[in-house]
Amino acid sequence: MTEAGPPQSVSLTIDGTPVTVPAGTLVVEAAKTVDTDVPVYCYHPKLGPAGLCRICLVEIERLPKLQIACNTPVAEGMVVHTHGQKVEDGRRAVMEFLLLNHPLDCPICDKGGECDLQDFSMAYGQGASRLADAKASKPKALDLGPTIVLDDERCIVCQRCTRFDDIITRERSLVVKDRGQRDVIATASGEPYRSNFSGNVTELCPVGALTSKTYRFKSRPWDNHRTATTCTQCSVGCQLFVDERYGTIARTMSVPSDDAISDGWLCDRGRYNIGFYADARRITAPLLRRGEQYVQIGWDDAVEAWAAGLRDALGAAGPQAVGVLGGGRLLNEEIVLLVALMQELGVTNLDWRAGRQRQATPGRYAGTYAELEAAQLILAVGRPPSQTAPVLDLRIRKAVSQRGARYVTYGGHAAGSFVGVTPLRSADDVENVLSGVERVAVVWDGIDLELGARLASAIDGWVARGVSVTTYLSGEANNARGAEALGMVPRSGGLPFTGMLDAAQNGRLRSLSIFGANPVLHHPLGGASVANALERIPFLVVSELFLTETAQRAHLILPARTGFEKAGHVINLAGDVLPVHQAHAAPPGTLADGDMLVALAAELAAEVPGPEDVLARATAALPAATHGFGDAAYSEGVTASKSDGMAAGKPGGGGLRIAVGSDIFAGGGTIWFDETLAELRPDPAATLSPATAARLDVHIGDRLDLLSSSGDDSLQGLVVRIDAGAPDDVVAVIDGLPEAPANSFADGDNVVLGARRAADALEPALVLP
Amino acid sequence: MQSFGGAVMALYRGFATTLQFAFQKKPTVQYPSVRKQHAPRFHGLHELRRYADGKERCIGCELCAIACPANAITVIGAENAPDDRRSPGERFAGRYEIDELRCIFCGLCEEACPTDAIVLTPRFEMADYRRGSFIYSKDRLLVPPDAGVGAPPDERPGGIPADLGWVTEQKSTVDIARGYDATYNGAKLKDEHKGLTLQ
Amino acid sequence: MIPWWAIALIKAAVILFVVVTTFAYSMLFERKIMAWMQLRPGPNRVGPWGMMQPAADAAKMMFKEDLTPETADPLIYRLAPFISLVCAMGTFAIIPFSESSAGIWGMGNVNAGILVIFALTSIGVYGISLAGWSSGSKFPLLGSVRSTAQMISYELALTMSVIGVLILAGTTSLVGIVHAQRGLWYIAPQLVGFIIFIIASVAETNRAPFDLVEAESELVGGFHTEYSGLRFGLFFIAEYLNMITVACIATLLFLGGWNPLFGLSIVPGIVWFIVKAGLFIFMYIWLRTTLPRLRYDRLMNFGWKFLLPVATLNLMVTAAVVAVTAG
Ligand code: SF4
Ligand code: SF4
Ligand code: SF4
Ligand code: SF4
Ligand code: FES
Repeated sequence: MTEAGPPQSVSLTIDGTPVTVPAGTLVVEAAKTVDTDVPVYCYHPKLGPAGLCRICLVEIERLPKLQIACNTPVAEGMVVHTHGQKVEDGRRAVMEFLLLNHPLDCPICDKGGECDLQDFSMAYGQGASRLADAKASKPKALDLGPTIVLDDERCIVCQRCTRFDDIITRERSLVVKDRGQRDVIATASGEPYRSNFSGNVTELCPVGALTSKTYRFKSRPWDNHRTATTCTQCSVGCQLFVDERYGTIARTMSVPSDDAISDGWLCDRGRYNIGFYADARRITAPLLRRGEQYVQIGWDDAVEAWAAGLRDALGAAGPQAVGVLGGGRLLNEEIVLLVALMQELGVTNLDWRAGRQRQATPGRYAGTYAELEAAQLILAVGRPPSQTAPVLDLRIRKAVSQRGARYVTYGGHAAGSFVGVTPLRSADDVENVLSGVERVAVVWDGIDLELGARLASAIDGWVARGVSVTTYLSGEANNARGAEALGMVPRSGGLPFTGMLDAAQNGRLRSLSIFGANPVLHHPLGGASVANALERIPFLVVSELFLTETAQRAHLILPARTGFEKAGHVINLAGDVLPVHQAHAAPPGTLADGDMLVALAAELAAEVPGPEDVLARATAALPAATHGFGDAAYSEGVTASKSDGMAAGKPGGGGLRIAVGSDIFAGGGTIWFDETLAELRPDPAATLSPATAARLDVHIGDRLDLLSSSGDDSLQGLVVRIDAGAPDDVVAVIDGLPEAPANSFADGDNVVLGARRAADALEPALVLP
Repeated sequence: MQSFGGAVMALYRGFATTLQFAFQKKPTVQYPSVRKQHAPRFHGLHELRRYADGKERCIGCELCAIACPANAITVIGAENAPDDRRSPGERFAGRYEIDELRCIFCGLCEEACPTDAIVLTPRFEMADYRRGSFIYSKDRLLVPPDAGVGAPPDERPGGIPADLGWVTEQKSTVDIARGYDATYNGAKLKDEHKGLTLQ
Repeated sequence: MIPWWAIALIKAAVILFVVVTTFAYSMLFERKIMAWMQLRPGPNRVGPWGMMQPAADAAKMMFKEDLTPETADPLIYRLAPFISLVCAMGTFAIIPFSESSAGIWGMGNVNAGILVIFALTSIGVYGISLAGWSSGSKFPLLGSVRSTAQMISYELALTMSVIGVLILAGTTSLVGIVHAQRGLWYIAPQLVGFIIFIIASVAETNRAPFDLVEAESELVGGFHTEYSGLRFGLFFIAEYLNMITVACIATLLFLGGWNPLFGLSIVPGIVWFIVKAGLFIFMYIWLRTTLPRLRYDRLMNFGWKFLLPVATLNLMVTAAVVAVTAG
């Protein structure tokens, strides 16, 4: 052969069938093309080969011994037999070793019914063990962390879990401790296993060694009714399976084939935040305010009252006196209906921006997740995607660790991505890292419009230089992009939400309807002033799951349905229109927002589009966005946040500035009302650098209050944490915690230390030696 | 068309048969005043057994539920609290219900059970006035802790395999060797029925 | 002297008592016989051998709720059972049970006895038809339609078969007919007539295998679907009384009435009568346990295309023979 270079594809024979696959393919993958089953435990397409379990033995002609299919690349002219006496014998011997110390646990094991060890035991195992001695006894039902239980007797040391923690999340906390019969899965540090992606190891584990606490003993795989849907917890839009049993959601599972969006992973917020729908505090009947109390009313009366309130406001002061807030948590169909109904009524005061996020459309450089993964430089601006779009962050980690991309941040304060991050402090730094880079991906949190505008013009510059740029907006509400694309923005002459709040203060807003939004907890104007404005509205309607801070101010509360209880579509941050399917029956008395709107339209005798029309509009492909992303005109009338983040400015009077960050388990809604996840909710913490802590003389576990420089706002009872990576003179707090709502603080604001209590007076256990 | 003679013969045979039956001995058993001994492996009302130390045998594994052809069993597992152990392992049946109206008394649940927890007793008197009362949950299925120690449920001709010896000692209300009359509820039921003797 | 009306009242009371008791025990008799033929012991819970079962049934009937459907015609609906019962009972005023009953009791010796009986039974059909119609519900209506058609069809054959006897006896008085059988019972010369009479009378009394009027498997309960409690009981009584009536008529017309068998005149005539009628009732029950219900079209075919022609033929032959021998 005189070919130049290695052949691009090789031909081989598997079980008598000739196949041609790209060079370098593993035999186990090549075997998938001929419809034969090679059993695997340790191999996983996303984790690569490890060659640990040996179950994948196959016979390759002209090789004297059986070979493992998962770690043998194909070669030209190879003849592979995946079945046959020799292979079966080999696998039987492997099974015997794997089962030597495996307990007879299947009846009490959560994996039973979907366990590879069970399946292959049936295929290759022998009925009785030849082991004369007692089986090794190892820890069972061990708490590995807040989400995972380990049964070490069942572990077959395939190391999928540790490799996931190493290769995929890069967190590297799980290890195999000790060797041989005494090996045990543990964290290297001995601390509990905490990760925002911990749930994935329970799916990867081919046996029942790692199981989820939330699913423990709840169901059996064959009991579950599985629905494929889209996760509605954040704007990434991961596909997921919801397993329902007896009207309860037993668990959620990732969709392994979902390479385009989730890459087959889920974060723990999406996976475990499923208990809220059944919380006893859920509202299950419309509530009407009577003086200081709420009375339960029927839906007919509720819709009548709602229509009457709207009619009064419209009649007395025209459409300018009516406003609507929400959409970021609605389905596309519901947004279409809402917008159409408001148009019919002439209402122009529409907005979805109930929190800090100002923009959701990534503009003309919008990109796909695959493009993000292929970028050479990833620039995160503002809050880190690890907290706002967790599974997107896994892709960043993948790009960095497997594709050699560089990850830099600008603004924001704690990247927390477990891959090498370079925080940039000035625009010049950004320009410097750009030199020689061809593909750039920019992820922005959409909060600081002024910063966004600067970023947008910088991007225009880069593109002009021939750099290919893709932009992403990872925000707060899961369907923010859908809301913006489908028209939940102020219409000509209409007021944005901040303007509506102004109008409310002045008594010009007569009626406001809020759908699935909690501005009192999230809006940057601060809880007190938002609440104050809302209380001045003569007729406030809130559609909610729970009695949130905002709902408590409403005159009429409408019990809504969760994303598990209705069907429709959402648009994720990459612009994909994704289906949401109903996974379980909604509690009686609740109504999907769309149904409420249809009832309202009927009551008001207003024309709204029919179901087909709504569906067509809700699923229409997004037009290529020509604006957005820092484009100030696009978000006309929106007050910018107060500062440019951590990059600008110097410490003020007290020498202490605040950094407000997000956490995937923060929020006042689904997570706050999900008791099964109480352990995962972040404490209201104040994180300081060691030097700052020493300067202020505070210690880990102390409780302190923070006051804004004006003294108007305060955060009380924050637990002190010390983080060596934190910048000096900055106190980092978490946004969106109902115990300490930080929404009136903006990044970079000066703050003053208030009262403090020493740790030992409170919780001695928290003081580290 | 049948011939006339044939028709007459058919009639004759029909009338002869009925007349003959009128004089035969009637097989009716005058239950409840007369009770028959059940076959040793009669399948009746279920029972959830305990170990001799009082722990529940059932581990809530749901294997009976999936084995049941009538979909009569509902099991929802739960985890043993360290200070309140119901069963020997980590898991026990938090909820265990059998809809006896659905049950066809096939005994497959008994076969499926890895711990011999669910067994079918010879009890069959379950009549009631409400459908709901046929859903037996743990309060009625679980043998009382003070029940005697009975013989193993599985008296197969070949005996019990040696390595299942631990099965032999267990709390049960049924003594297979002595049959129905020795049962816990059976004895009670019999007393209740004494007043009903009519003939 | 006791005034005649008092005597009449006493007679009526005695007859009523006897008739009702007979009904009650013939019902028990039927249930027992059927049970035996079906290898069951039959009712045996109430009283020795279940002897008090009729009393228990009666008590049950009386205490059950009397329902009237909303769609029913209230007056006719309530009246219908009485029409049935009165007609069924009325016949007993004319049936002579023995020589002495005809003589001493001065009861039942009506010149045109047999005609009166047919008249009464024909009116009895109204009870059933009206019950079905007035219930205002579809199954009873179907039952009553069937009953009307069935009665008309079989009444013809029944009457034809009886006329043969009348020609032989030369009288329509029941006592006269019995007297005419002192020598030879009419079952012998009129065997064909007798068989036709049995078949037609079973159909006339709506009993199996001709119980299409109340076919449970097709019509729920037929004409009495909507009836409950005592009103249902009245239909029930009427049905049994009709059966007894027919048994009595058959005895009188074909089995020699109270004429003794083998010249055993020491045994009182009334006993002979009861034995013969009893046998006839037994035959009824036997039929019911043995034969399955007919299909409706077959019933009609049989009635019109077979039974009626044969009865007519029988009548003509009898008439011819009598004409020839008398001449
Ligand atoms: S891991 Fe699999 S084989 Fe092991 S106990 Fe669980 S179900 Fe059985
Ligand atoms: S715990 Fe599961 S995934 Fe981890 S090494 Fe053991 S068997 Fe493999
Ligand atoms: S006996 Fe058969 S039908 Fe009844 S519960 Fe058991 S498995 Fe189900
Ligand atoms: S009765 Fe047996 S099979 Fe059923 S859940 Fe309990 S242990 Fe499992
Ligand atoms: S799958 Fe090949 S060695 Fe484990």
